[in-house]
Amino acid sequence: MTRGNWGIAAQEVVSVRSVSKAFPLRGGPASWFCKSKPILALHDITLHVFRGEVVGLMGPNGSGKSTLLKLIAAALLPDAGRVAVLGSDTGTQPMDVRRTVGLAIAQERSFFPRLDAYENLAFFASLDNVPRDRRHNEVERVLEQCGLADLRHRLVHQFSSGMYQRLAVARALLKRPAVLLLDEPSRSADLQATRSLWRLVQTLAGEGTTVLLATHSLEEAANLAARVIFLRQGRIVSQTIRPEVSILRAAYAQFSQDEALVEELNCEACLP
Amino acid sequence: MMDKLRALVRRDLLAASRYRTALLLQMAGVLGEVAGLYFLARAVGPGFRPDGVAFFPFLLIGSSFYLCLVGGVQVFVETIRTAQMTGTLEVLLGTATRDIVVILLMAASSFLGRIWQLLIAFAVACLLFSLRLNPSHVLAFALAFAVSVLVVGAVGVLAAAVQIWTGRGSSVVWLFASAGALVSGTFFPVSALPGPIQQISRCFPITHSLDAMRITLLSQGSIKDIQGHIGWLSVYALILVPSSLLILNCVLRRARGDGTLAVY
Repeated sequence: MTRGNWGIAAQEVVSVRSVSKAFPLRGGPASWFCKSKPILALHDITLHVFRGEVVGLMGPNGSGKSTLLKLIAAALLPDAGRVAVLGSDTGTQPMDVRRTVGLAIAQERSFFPRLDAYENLAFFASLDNVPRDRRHNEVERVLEQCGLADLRHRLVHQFSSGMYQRLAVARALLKRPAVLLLDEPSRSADLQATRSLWRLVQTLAGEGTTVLLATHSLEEAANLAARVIFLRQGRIVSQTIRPEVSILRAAYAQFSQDEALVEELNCEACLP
Repeated sequence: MMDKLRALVRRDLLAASRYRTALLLQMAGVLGEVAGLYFLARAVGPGFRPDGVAFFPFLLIGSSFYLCLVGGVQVFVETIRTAQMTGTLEVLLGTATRDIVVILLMAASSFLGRIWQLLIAFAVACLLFSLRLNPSHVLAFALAFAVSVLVVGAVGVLAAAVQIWTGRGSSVVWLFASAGALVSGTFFPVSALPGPIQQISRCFPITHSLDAMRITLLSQGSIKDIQGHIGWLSVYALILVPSSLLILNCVLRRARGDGTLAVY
C-alpha cells in the first residue's frame, strides 16, 4: 500500500520502473549475425497507477503508448527495468499478469470472422478460464455492457470498425480484469457508442478497476482520466492531473512539436 | 484442458460449417484420391504383392496415414500462420492459458479434422472398393498410431517454432513431407530402394509408423510383431517431445522480447 495523490491510502496496481524497450529493425536469424540499430520505443519509463485510477496516455503516433500497454499486459517483455501488476512481474509471472489484465487493442482483425459475436466471446472466455457454468452469463453481461446485445448473433465479418472496437472491449472485460488497458477504444465509434463507453469506464473505475487508456482524443482524456501522461519518442514528457480540454490541447500541441497540428488545434480552439 | 480443447473444436467446426462449399470439395477430394489409388492398383495388377499384401490396401494405408501424419506436422504451421494473418495470435497468446497449451490445442483441434478425413477415406474404400481390413489387435494399432502422433506432433512443434522465428515454418513441413514420400514406403515397399537409402529409410519415423500400421491392419499383427517399430518411435518421441517444447518456449520468449509474435 502506498499513499496516492489525494491523501487516501491507495493500492498500487501497476508498477513500471525504469523500463526501456527497443525493437530490432531486422527480425529472424539474420539479426543474430548482423547487428542493426534498433528502434527505441520506450526509454526509462517509470509509472505507478493505483486501484480505481483512470490514466490517459497521449502522444503522437509512434510515441510508445501501445508498446507501454503491451508491456503491462505481458504481451511484450522489457529490455530493461521491471513491470509488475498487483506485485506480479510480467517477466517471471506472466500468467498471473494475464489473468488480471484485460487488453483491448486497436486492431480489427483479431476475431474469427465466420463466428458471430457471441461465439467469439464464448471461445475467448474458455481460454480465459471463465468457468463453463458461468460462461453464458458472462458473455451476455459483456455484450450488454458494450451495447452489443442486439448484435450477438451477427457474424463479425459483417461488423463495422466501431463495432469491432466495442467487441474488443467486451472481450477484455470477460475475465473481470483488475486492470483494463484500452488502446484507442473510441476510434471509429459513433457519438452514442463513445458516450456509452465513457460511462462504462467510469462505472468500472468506480468499482475499483484500474484503467489505462491510450487515446488521441483530448475530450476523451479530459472526461475520463484523472491523470494524463504525455509520451514523445518513448519518453514521458509531461503529466497532468485532472486535466481540462484546453490544457490538454496546449500540452498536446507543445509536445507533439507538429506545427500543422498546433495550427489545427488552435483553429479547433476557436470554434464555438 | 478438455474444456479448452472442446472450445477449440467447436470453433473449428462452426467455422468449417460456414464454408460449406470447401467442406463438400474436401469430401469429393478424398473420394477422388481413394478411387485414384484403387485404379492405380488395378492397373498394376494382382500379381504385385508388396510385403505379401494386395497393392490397393498397401497403397491406401501408406498414402492415407502418410497424409495424416504429415498433416500432424502441417497443422502446427497452418494454425500459427493463420492466426498471425488474421491477427488473432497475439490475442490468443494473451489469454489466461499458457502459450504452449494454446498452440498444442489449436493444432490438436485441427489434427482431428485430418483424422476425420482418414476415417472417410477408409469408409469410402470399404464401402465402394471392397477394402478388407483385419484389425484383430486394435490395441496394437492404437499404440502404434498414438506413438506416431507423438513423434509427428513433436516435429510439428519444431515447425511451429520455425514459423514464429522466421515466418517460414512451411519449409520444415516441405522437407519432412518430401523426404517421407521418398523413403518411408508410402507408395512402394522400402525394399525397392537402393541399399544406402534403405538405411536412411530405417532412420525415418514415418517408415516405422507405416510398417506398424500395415502389420496391424493387414497382417493381424500383435504388439509383439511391431515392438521394434514401437521401440524406434518411442525413442524419437522421448528425444523430440521435450526438446521441441523447450525450443518453442525459447522462441516464444524471444518473440515476446522482439515483438515479432505476429510477424510472418
